[in-house]
Amino acid sequence: MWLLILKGLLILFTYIFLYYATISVSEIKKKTNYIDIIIIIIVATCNVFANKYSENTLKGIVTLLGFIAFSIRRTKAPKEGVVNGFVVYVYAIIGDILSAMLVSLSGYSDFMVKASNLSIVKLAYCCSLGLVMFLVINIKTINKFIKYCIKHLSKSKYVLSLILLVGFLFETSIIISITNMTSLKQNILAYILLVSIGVGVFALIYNITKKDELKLINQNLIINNESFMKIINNYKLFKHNFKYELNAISLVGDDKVKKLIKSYLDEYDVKSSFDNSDLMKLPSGIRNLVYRKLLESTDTNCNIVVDNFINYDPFENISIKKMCKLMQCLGIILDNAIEEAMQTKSKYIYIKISEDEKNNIIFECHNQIKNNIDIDLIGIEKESNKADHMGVGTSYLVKQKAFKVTNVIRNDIYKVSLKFSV
Amino acid sequence: MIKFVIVEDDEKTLKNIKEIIAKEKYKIDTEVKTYEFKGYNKQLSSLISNPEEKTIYILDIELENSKSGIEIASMIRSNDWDSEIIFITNHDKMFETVHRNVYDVFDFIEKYHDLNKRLSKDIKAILNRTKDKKLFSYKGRNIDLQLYMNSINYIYRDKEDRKVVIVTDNSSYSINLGVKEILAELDDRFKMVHGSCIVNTDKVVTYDWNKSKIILSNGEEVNYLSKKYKKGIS
Repeated sequence: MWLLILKGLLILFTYIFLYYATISVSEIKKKTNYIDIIIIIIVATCNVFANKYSENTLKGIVTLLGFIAFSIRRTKAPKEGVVNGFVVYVYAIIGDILSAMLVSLSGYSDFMVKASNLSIVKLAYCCSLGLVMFLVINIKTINKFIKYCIKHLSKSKYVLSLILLVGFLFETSIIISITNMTSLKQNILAYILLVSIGVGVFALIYNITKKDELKLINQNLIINNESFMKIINNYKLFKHNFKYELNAISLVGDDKVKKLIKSYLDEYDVKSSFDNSDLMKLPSGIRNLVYRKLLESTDTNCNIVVDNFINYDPFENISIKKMCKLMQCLGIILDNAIEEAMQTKSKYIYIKISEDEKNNIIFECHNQIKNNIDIDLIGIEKESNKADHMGVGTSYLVKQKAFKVTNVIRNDIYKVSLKFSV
Repeated sequence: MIKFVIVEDDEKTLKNIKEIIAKEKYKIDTEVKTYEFKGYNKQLSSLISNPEEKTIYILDIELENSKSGIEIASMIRSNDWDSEIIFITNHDKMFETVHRNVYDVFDFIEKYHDLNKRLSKDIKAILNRTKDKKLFSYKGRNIDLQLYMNSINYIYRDKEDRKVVIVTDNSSYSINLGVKEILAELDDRFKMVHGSCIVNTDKVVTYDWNKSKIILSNGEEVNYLSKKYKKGIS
């Protein structure tokens, strides 16, 4: 009776150490409470009976279940707990086998064989094993490695991980059965086989989990990239609209205001020399806009030919609100025209300003075409003939009610005309 | 009948031009009528608005107290792309290139350099040629496409985008029409050479039936040629 109680206490002692070993490799640090203590007692009791009445297999199963129970309490999900329990159990088995091999090699094997007949010695060995396992698992490098394995195995497919771990245990049991622990050569062979299987299995698991990890990183990168692109596009749109509004405001401000706005705009624009006398034919209201658009073009050799058939400045009496919108529309037209013209041989845009019978002002911009144009995409939102465009500009023009915008392609010349009343 | 419309404010140049036209008109069979203006006025406006006969406009760009030659050309082209326009000018090459493309101008002649010779040559060339101004038109949702039929090289169906592509020397245009639908709108010079391709036979140099390809006058090779359509071509 007393022997049984002593055995029970020593097994309990072992499992307490193994329990703390499980805690040391788990991410979630919960406080030990009565449920944990109950599990330890149950597992230890089962082990006592397994020791007394059955084979080592049953003892092994009970221990495994104990580890799983400890791990489930320390993880977010039962599946994760099962995998974690298996991993710690695997390391416990490795520890057990290695220590047995060491003992057999040490020359004390005979003594151990004899001594193991004494239950006390066997139990003491089990307890010390628990303590040793606890100490070994708490070595920083080993602890980190086990945590890494647990983390990746938990993220990968659980069934696959379990199959791999069971396979590994099966291999180790075969190794144990074929070695008799007394021959040095067999021991060395067993060490090598164990290590190589272990490395192979975990390398396989690592590869599988790395792919999943990379997929996750890629997904995060894509999401972040999309978010940044939105921010950049919003900024570009803001900058785009801001410049037009400044241009419009500069028309109504006094000299001080004009000077101030010019200095703001100069900050944004690329500084390069540009001279074209046809610019002077443009009404002063849009001269600055056209000038800046030509400056912004990547190649400053964009030629501009202007025909102005009206002898007054129609932009002088337009309201600020209308002027801002008009500037936006003209800016879009000029951007598209200059961009396409730059790719042709002649590199020119032609601007014509005229008036119809009803005193509506017609602003026309012509440019040659080089690239393929899908006629049905023009003016459709988020559709563009240019790979790096968002499909916003022309669709914006088409929606304008204050201005009538017409697009015509005639013999490889793209003509956009914008009609508005003064 | 052929109409000559001269818009020139310089008396000497105007006289010169009238003499050149008088010399050339005796070489042709049709009736020739000449109108002269020193600037833009109602009569000229009415002539421009009613383009009935073949008209050759000879316009000075800089006109005193009047709309410029360019403006007049713009008015002509607002409803008449069949007439020919010759500018008398002293502008640079870029000016010429742009306006030639935009207004389909036949020629730019310098006023004080070889005017007689150049104008005479141009008038002869215009009178002797049969200008092909047949137009292919397509109305997209937000844009109109107008191409001279003689500028179209070939048309093929892009299987990936499921659109028909019209190819010219400078560019190409994708539209939502079937190949047969387009063929119905074109004239006889366009022939089907493949289930997915129509070619402008005036632009073809060689039909290579063995290699199933066509070589065009601009050197481009078109790999759409089927023996099934051989009869329709020869």
